Amino acid sequence: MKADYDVIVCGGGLAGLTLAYQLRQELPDASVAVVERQKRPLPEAAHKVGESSVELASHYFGEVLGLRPYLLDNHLKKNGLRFICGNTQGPLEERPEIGPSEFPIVPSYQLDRGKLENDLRAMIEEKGATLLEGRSVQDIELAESDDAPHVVKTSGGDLTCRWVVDATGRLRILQKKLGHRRPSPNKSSSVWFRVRERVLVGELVPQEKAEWHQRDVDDVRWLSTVHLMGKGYWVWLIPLSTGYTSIGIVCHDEHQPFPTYNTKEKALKWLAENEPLVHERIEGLELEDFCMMPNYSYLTDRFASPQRWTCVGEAAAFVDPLYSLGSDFISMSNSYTTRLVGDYLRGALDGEVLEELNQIYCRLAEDAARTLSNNGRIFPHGDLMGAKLWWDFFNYWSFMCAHFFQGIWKQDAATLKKFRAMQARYYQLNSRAQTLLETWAELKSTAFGGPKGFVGLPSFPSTLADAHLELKEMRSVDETFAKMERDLVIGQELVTEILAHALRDLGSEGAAELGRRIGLSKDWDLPIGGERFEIDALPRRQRVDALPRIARDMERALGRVNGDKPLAELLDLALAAAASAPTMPQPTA
Amino acid sequence: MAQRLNRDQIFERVVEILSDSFELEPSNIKLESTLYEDLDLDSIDAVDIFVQLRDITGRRPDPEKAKQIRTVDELVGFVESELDAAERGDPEPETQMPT
Ligand SMILES: Cc1cc2nc3c(=O)[nH]c(=O)nc-3n(C[C@H](O)[C@H](O)[C@H](O)COP(=O)(O)OP(=O)(O)OC[C@H]3O[C@@H](n4cnc5c(N)ncnc54)[C@H](O)[C@@H]3O)c2cc1C
Repeated sequence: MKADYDVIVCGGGLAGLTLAYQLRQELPDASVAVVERQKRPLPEAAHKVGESSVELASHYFGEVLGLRPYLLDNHLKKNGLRFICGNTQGPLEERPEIGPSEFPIVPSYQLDRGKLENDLRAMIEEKGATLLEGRSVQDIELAESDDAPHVVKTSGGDLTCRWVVDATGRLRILQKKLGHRRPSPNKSSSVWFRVRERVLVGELVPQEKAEWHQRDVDDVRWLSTVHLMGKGYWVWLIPLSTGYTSIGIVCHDEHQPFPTYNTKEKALKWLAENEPLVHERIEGLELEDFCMMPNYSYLTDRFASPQRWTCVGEAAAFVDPLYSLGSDFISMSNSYTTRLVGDYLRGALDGEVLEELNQIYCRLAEDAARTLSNNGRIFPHGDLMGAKLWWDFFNYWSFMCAHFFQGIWKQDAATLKKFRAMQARYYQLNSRAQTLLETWAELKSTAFGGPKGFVGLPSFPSTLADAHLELKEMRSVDETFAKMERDLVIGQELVTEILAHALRDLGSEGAAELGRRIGLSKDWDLPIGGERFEIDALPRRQRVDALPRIARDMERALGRVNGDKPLAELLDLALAAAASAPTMPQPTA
Repeated sequence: MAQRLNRDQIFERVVEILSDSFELEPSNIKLESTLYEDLDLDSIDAVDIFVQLRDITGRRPDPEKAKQIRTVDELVGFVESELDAAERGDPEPETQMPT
């Protein structure tokens, strides 16, 4: 087939540029062009949202693409995600704080998107990709037969290619044209802006509150992505290497309607009401580059097609910014694309492999959307948020990260299928965990639950800390599968512990209602009841020595509320209530 | 900066940390109490205590010194020596995995 390029990437944002880099690096014989409507130089600091990267994307940028030295020299090393729950109207030092106590060993970064995209443009040219700047893509005409090229219609004329990638972000040319857009259960909106100075979370706490400041022995708290959590919303503070601070408001529409904060003036007023300390700190500063995005979340039912196209980054799906997963999905869509294009150009594209990768991508996005929607009632509570973070991180590191880090996506169709079946088991457990957490939040009688003070995310030593460190160990495919199976069992214990905490916290009345609402059953794949629940009534030392490790970890992290009845009795109440209620639809694998 | 804590105040904070974290009766926590026998704590509890003590000392403890502590009195003495070290500006142990 004759074509101008092997691959044309439409749109040169973060996804398109890193993909071009990866393609040229891994497939040096492939000719690659990027068509990007915006010319250089891009403004630094105030370019785009999406600065915070987490483990999966950091691994992609740093190790898969090999940009670690560049990132360390030009961007900030990030001190994990930090969540501050509790009473937003009270002093910040009295709000529960959940975050890393030490700089995480597995690195992650705060990216300055303007700087990064400027630099990446130069890097891809150096790698031999053709960058067509200042040209916009008007349409993508897909080939009608396998031996004809696709035609990319641009403002500077038509271009042909063998494989086409849509990386146009929210424009989503192919998704719209082909009807693959799917709604997300996450109904949330956001506004964000930059201020031209560092706004440090430490500045929100008076200097004389020495204990709160001293807890952060290395003075690196500010290098975290800080999330200030309130009912149905959160506010982010992200430091940028250029000295600016990115600040954003994210609200679930159900709790905080978009029109209450969608202009500069209204956003300031909203902050004054909801996060008065932040408002006080930034009052008088200019809010630069104020942007907004109502109803930002959407999914897809197809990111890759045997018709020789893929969609990467936001041109495929966008879930939610809470855990900074945007770049993770870029990493996965790019790496899967690189693999598929490589197979295709070698004449070895296996339709089953493509379909497996397509399925796993769509399911992971759907799963993340499940994790990140309908959870606004959880945010103010330190204990609930702590429980959620423990599970969500454990789940994220155990399946999604392991699948990516261990290169499972490079395997054959049968292996991919086996891992997708494993994903379905994680998905079912996650679904149960999320329902449990949300229902616990609905039933909670206090406005702010949980221990005051600091909770290590992860704490050391703990199951969660191990899960994090083990990300760096390379394993064979079989070892990876076996580890996922072991982790699933730990995950089941973890979710059971969340149930135990919820039951004790809600007491006999709430326990029955919890059981009823979630349709609790002994048939669930969880180690409910039995000896574990009997041990719970023992005095601390005996209890702690007899508990499984994860149970002790959770108790260390979340504190412990003793129920009005022993745990085993609370469980019986919950089970009995569920059994007498009309049956609930259960998540299926 | 807040005023430096004296020995009695450090003891009070230590009692608070121990009773809040480990379901202990404050009145049962005495200077002469041994951590591992009288108070029935173990090594993971000790790690958690040292994480919390950072709030008072503002320093990452030297794991070798921390390991030798056996009684509440020694724990109070340890906090005092950490506060002295902080005042003198002694370097902290290298960042490492918290023990
Ligand atoms: C509120 C919010 C907060 C977020 N926070 C984070 C975060 O902390 N961490 C994180 O990882 N992600 C975050 N994200 C997600 C992140 O912004 C996206 O994942 C990322 O920007 C997507 O990159 P992209 O390359 O797919 O799209 P874009 O960055 O939008 O790039 C698309 C590119 O295509 C070009 N283009 C568009 N149309 C055409 C056309 N017709 N012809 C030619 N070129 C075209 C554009 O100029 C642009 O350069 C956040 C998102 C939101 C909404």
